[in-house]
Amino acid sequence: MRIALAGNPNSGKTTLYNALTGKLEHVGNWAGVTVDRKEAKLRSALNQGIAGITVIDLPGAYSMSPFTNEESITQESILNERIDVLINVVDSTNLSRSLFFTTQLLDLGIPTVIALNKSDLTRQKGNEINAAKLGDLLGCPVMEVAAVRENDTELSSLISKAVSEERRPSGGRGRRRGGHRHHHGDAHIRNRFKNRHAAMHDDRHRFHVVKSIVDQVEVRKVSSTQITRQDRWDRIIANKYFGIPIFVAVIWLVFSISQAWVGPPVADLLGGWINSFSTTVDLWIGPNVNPVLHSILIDGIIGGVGAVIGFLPLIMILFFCLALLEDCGYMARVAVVMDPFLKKVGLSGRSIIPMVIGTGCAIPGIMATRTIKSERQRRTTAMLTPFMPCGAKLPIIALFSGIFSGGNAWMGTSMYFMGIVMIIIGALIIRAITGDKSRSYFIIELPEYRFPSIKRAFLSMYERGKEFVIKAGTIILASNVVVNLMQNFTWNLQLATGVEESILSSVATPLSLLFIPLGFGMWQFAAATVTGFIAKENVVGTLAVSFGIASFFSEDALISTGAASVAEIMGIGAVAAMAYMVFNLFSPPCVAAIGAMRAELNSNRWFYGALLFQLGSGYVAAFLVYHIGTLVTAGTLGTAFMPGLLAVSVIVGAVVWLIMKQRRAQRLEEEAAA
Amino acid sequence: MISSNFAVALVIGIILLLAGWRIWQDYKRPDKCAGCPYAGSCSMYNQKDADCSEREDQPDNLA
Repeated sequence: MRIALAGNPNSGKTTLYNALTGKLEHVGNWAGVTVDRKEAKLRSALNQGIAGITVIDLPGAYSMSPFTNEESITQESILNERIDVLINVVDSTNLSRSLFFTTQLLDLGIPTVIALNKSDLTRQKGNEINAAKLGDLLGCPVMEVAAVRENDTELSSLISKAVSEERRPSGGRGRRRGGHRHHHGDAHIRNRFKNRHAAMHDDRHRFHVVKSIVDQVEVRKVSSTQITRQDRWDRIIANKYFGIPIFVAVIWLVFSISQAWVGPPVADLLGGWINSFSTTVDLWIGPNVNPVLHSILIDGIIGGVGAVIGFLPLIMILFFCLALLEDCGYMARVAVVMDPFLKKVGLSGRSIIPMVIGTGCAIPGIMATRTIKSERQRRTTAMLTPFMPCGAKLPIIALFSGIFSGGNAWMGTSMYFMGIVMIIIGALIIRAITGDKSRSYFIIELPEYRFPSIKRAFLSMYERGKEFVIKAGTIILASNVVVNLMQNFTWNLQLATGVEESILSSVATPLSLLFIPLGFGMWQFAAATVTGFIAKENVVGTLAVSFGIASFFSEDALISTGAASVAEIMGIGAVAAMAYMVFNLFSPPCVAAIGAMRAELNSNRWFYGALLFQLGSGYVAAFLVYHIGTLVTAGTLGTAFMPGLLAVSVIVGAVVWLIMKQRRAQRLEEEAAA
Repeated sequence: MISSNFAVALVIGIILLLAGWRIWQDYKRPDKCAGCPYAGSCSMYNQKDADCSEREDQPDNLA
């Protein structure tokens, strides 16, 4: 049996899906978190003795006439897949809006059970819904649930209703029963959903039906026209003047907690354990082991992986804080605050959703661009989302801010907002290059503020932490071993007597010449940048291996106290370190994210353009940071300013040429039309 | 008696084998969608248990 969960965005489908299947899919207290279809087996505790019940979680939809790509996925799945029962998840705090979609689903004739979700919140507000009467009017079972409670008795009862609905003698596709239904054949319904004009006519009638049902079953203590406490909060939090400073303060607080107050002491502890483990293994293998094997195990595997794992506490705490923010309903307000800025550069507030998701990992962020209807905006957002510092880039930020600014939270905060600034500038440039001046309008439903679920924040933190550890134990480990071997051997496969003779040095040195105007023209940095394209955590791992730093958190190189030793080993100043950080953050992402970008852009011209654009952006931003920073701090320009200026001029010249070319083509088009 | 060099090489080999196996497992997944022109709009893209043959709405319908 296949049970599909369908309903409006942010009605709690994924929360119910997780409760029914025991999965840990990402949930968020705002619309548009689920952008693709997921399915899993129902938990055995709930399956009523029926084996093989599959639960399908569909992206949220307001209507069966799709407006966004993920609504198309829902429509396609419901119309074309074999679905035995639909559980229509209805947000009971927003009944009148939710029932529009419900009536459309009921018209399909698929056995349906309505789960009136968030019933706890409805009661808290003092509102009442007569579920039995609602069931009678709609002609299907209605059950009040609170998916967030994960109450097995409640969930079992819901599944039992779904099973009996499917097994009713009159059950099955094409069945029609009483209630406020539109009695049409399936073929007509399918055609109607594809014909928007016909749908509009039907929709007006449907709104009247829904209003009449809601009037009969709902008693609201507070009218929707009255100003609530939430509205008063929103007047401050989503205010066009206060919204941005509040957003900056919130992000600063998040970085302070994770990177300065709570994270470093825990990271020190973990760093100490990794160090002790390394020493123990070193003693265990003894002094007579072949130096290459010793170096691979101690420096490459334990040192390289340990250097990355050392940042785990900082990352987990950051994700815990971000999950709390998302769950309490704040992130939807951020989208509203950012909308005017993004609209001015040809994007919309919807673009902020992939960008926020991208702070976890760029891949789901890029995939979340499907919620954007305009193709140009969707591609631009997919191209620019990797500029947000993802979890893999956090070790780079934590490393350099720890070494060069004593773990100051402003470094992480500034990188977060620099990402947003880069996105805004990037969007402006892309709009000028494409010549597309179309604007879109952004409507987002502001979810209720609620006390965030600590359990969900812990689960989110655990999932992110697990992914980080798996990546460190696989791709980072393998990369570190390769880097270590390349560092130990010459091209003749002889042991390198000095590191300058090594394969790694000879490969990375020519590349490092390009980075001299950016202030970090040493081969170790070039090598770390290249391995960073495999996975961004590699930047830290490769620096540890190539500079021979056992642990950034060890007693010898305490990052949290801003010890100068690691900075001395690296041989660069604070400004060059910041330029290096900026280059790694704002150049193309890792290969996996590049793959996702290719799939979502779905055009070779856009894809290669995106890669060149990201590379150019990273180079220009790092150049500006290094030379302006050096000018401000030392009163002179940095090393190799003129060659750098030449390279930057070529990049800027190429962008200007593309813009001029577009304008010329546009002018010719206008002249031809005239 | 097993030499210490052999023991260390064995440990490194096992670690690399495990890491390589896991990388291969992860690599296999998205590879299913490699070259698929519908990857960008497919609801099953990159899903763990994705099986295109299960789809009743074959990719053409999504184009």
